[in-house]
Amino acid sequence: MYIKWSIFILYCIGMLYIGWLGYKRTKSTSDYFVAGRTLGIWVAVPLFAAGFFSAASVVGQSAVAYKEGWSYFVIYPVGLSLGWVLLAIIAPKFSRVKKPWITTADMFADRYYSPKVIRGLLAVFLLLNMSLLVIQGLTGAGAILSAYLNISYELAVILMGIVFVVYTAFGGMFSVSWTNVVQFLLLFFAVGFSALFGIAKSGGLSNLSGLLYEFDPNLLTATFGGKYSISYIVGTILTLALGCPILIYYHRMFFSCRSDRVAVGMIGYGAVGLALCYLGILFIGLTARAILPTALVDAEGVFTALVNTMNPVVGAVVISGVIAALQSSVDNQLLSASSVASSDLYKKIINPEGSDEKVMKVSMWTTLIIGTICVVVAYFRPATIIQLYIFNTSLGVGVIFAPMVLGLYWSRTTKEAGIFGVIFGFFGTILWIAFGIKTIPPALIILPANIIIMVIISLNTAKPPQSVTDTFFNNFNKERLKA
Amino acid sequence: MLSGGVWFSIVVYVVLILLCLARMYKFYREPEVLKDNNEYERG
Repeated sequence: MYIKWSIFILYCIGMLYIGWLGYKRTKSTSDYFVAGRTLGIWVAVPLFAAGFFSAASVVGQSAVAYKEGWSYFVIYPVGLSLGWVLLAIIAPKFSRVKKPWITTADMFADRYYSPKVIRGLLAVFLLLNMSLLVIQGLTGAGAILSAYLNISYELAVILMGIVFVVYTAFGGMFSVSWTNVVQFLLLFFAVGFSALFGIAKSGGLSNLSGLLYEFDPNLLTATFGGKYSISYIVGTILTLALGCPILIYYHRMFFSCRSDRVAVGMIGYGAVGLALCYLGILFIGLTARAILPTALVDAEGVFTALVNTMNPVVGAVVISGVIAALQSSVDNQLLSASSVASSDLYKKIINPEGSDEKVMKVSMWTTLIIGTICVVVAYFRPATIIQLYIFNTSLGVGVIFAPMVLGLYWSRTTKEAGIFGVIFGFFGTILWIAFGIKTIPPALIILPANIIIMVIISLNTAKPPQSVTDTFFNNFNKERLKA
Repeated sequence: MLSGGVWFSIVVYVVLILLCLARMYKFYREPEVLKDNNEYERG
């Protein structure tokens, strides 16, 4: 137990120290939210990869791989890798235009020439959307930390919460980026070592297949012996993929990169690192199924069960890698929630005349307050909020995807269509979840409907101003040609 | 011992990662345009 506590305390001190370094480097709101747009490839890649790899990846997906074998791979890693391709495609659209964007709502406000209406609508939604993600992440993190340190769930949430809220609130994007570098190295080691450890214990890959076949031949099939239909697999892959480009903390990462080359490279190199991590998760689940003596009642404990068979010191480092994976996502989400509240709502709507110094102070306080509220809500572990995960993700796709894609790729899209798209995406998704066919996800109905209606509205309203078309389309490649 | 569907998805996985790398390679062949934060703040 001393080893576990020592490594955990060492990890926390390291993160807080990096937060202090970030605090010293931060001089403006641009520094605070987008790291002064200076991030190079060596920081951007771990920032993206660690931000992507969340509690759900480690705990939830290793449980799915444990229960359902290779069908996990067919759905999750394949769906997410399609999401990385979509992110790589949209990245330059965010990082190339020379505008002082800090949040996704900034981009929407410029594209839909609606500085107040569309920004206000999006800001309120995104604040709720990101805060819910932070609460969900903290809930998962608390459960793992409490099992690992043998403490209560409530104490685990407080310990975890204090560390990440403090380094995020004071150091902003610099400290989030730098902590993510360390966190990515830790989680990469944790997942990679655990997978190789499991494979070695199973007697190699071919022996592993034999063991799994003896246990249940369905573990080696794509549909888990016909449990999943092709339409279900394709639908889930598409939902996972479409959920990637709409997450606003990736957009803020694009704004933070020092060039569009870094923004696309962040996804390219990051995809390779993440591809290995998800293979690691697959083999953690498969090997645990093959080597653990009895079937686990709670499959979500599969990672911890595997770690318990390791040397205690190595196991403690591996678990700190899992904790790193948990924190590296919630810090990005918290900073996004705070950027929406202080940049979109306070600076752009409530107090447009506020000095940069004042806005930065407000930003730090906003991060502290939102972070504290999320910790308090996670402390009480409300079941309804945890169950809101799918609902929250579906809403994100419904509200953002159609206005974002049409706005960035079709110059004729108008303000009226953009505002409609956000409102229809929100209410349409809620109504479909409440009254629609349960087996069909809202993304397959509301999203196409939203795109069709937005096209019809655009064609029947006045064209966007020339300045908008120039900014987003006509001048798009001129900067590169000048270079 | 793996089913055909699993092998197919492994191929799809590799192709998707290669697509990400190909997209990156396209940008690495062109000159890098560095951002100027001051210019950004001016809008």
